[in-house]
Amino acid sequence: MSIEIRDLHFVYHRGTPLESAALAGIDLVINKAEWLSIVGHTGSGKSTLAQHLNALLVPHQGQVLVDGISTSGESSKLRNIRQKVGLVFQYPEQQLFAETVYDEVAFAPLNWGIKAENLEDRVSEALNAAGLGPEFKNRNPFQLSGGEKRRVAIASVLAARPSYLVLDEPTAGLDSRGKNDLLSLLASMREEGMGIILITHDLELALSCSERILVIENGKAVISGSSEKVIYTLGSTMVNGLIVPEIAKVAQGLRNCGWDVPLSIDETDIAEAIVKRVRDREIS
Amino acid sequence: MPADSFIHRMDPRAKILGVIFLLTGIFMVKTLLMFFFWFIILFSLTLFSKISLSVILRSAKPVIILVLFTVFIHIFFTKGQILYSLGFITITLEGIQMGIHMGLRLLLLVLYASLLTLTTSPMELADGLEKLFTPFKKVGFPAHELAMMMTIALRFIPTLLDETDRIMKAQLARGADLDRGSILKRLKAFIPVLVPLFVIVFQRAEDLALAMESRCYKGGRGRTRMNPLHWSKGDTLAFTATVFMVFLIMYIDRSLVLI
Repeated sequence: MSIEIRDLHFVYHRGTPLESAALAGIDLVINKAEWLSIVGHTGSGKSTLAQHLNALLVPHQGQVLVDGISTSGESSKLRNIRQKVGLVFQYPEQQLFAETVYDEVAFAPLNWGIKAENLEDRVSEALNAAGLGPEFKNRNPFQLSGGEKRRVAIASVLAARPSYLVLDEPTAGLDSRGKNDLLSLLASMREEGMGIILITHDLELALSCSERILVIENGKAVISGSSEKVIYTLGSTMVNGLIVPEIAKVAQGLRNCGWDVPLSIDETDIAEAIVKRVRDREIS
Repeated sequence: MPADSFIHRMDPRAKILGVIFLLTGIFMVKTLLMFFFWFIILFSLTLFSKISLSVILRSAKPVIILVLFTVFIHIFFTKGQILYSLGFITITLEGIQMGIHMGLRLLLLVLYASLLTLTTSPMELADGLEKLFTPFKKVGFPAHELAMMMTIALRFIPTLLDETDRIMKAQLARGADLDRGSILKRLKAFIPVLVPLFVIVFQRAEDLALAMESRCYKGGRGRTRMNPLHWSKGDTLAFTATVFMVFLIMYIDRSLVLI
């Protein structure tokens, strides 16, 4: 089970004078139950790519296969794909419309035709997963705080029990505590076997949590691989608009001087490697 | 439409007044020959404005159904000399004549109006209208406020289209079914799109009001302009020519009817 993307091309305003290529030949396989982050600058095509994963956009060239079903196929299958791949848009709290949190979260399961007797459980489970207690059920979503609204919006996507969860800049506008809570929520979903696809411009965020990173620039994949590989590659190549975390720059610099420090953004790891090297030298 | 011609550079007031005269002229005309003249004038003005003819004609597309509807209503429901009748349907000579005239009038109306909007930016249009309505301020007509509202509305159309697209996609991703089922069902399916959209609109309006107030916007009184309108000799000439043309065509039309 996986999402396969083959030679994906997409052009906005195709056939008009405003034509602009958003994606130009992306190849990518996303396995179930992995955490992949897609990192890129504004306009790199990352949000466009996200919308291809659940058939909201359909490729102009190439293919997207979700568990073997092509998004370019019959429209009756598209709903199937959208059920499998949950998509949390940027600022998802703007999509809220219901009078109570319960109705809001029940919206997606009802659309996918869940049985009435299971609905209550589904909603409770999703609210719980998003870190909202049962006391929220009867509250008006518009009267919640910003962070709570976002949790409701995420719960409303989780309630459909997707196999993959795509999140477009989910931490935008959250304070550091809200951000950490969200990341640990995602980590626990990942533990339960959900594939997490995080779309962000924030390289540090991606490095801190994902198993695999895809860096895209102008609609093309430029780096793909583990955090170490991304930090290593960024030591010699520049990617437009991408901010390399200071600690990674320190690691790159030390390695250029021949020091054996890990390619990581974990300050403790790097400090330990430095201390070890200094101690070894003192002894010799 | 981005292009540069004398018509583009004209003072918007001259253009608006000119078009108003032209439209009254079009509604006064009663002979086919004169309708034909109005079309010739439209095409030469289009040529003169360097806008391609197909762009102007395309702008009439959305009203084609309305025009046809009007034509048929007139054909079927005008009393007069009966040409053909089948059951309750009767077609009269006067009906056909009226239908064709009304259809042509509507078509000309739309085409001339789009010639105006295609050669004038929304900002200029609003400025022109504001200036034209200024004399009515004395009787309490809010000219500046109306122009400002028009500008803001036009400015936010593309933004709101983007927002609608985004919200629709977000609800589609949650399994909303927006394009299947009966009309009632579809209307109901749109509630999850409309509610968030209203929320966003009110938020934007509030933000905009705050931004305007923090830059000391206090309405039209004592406000100076960045690009003051300038009525040139060319404008006077073009406007006079338009008025002259309207009266000439009306005169010929009257004489043709009397014959």
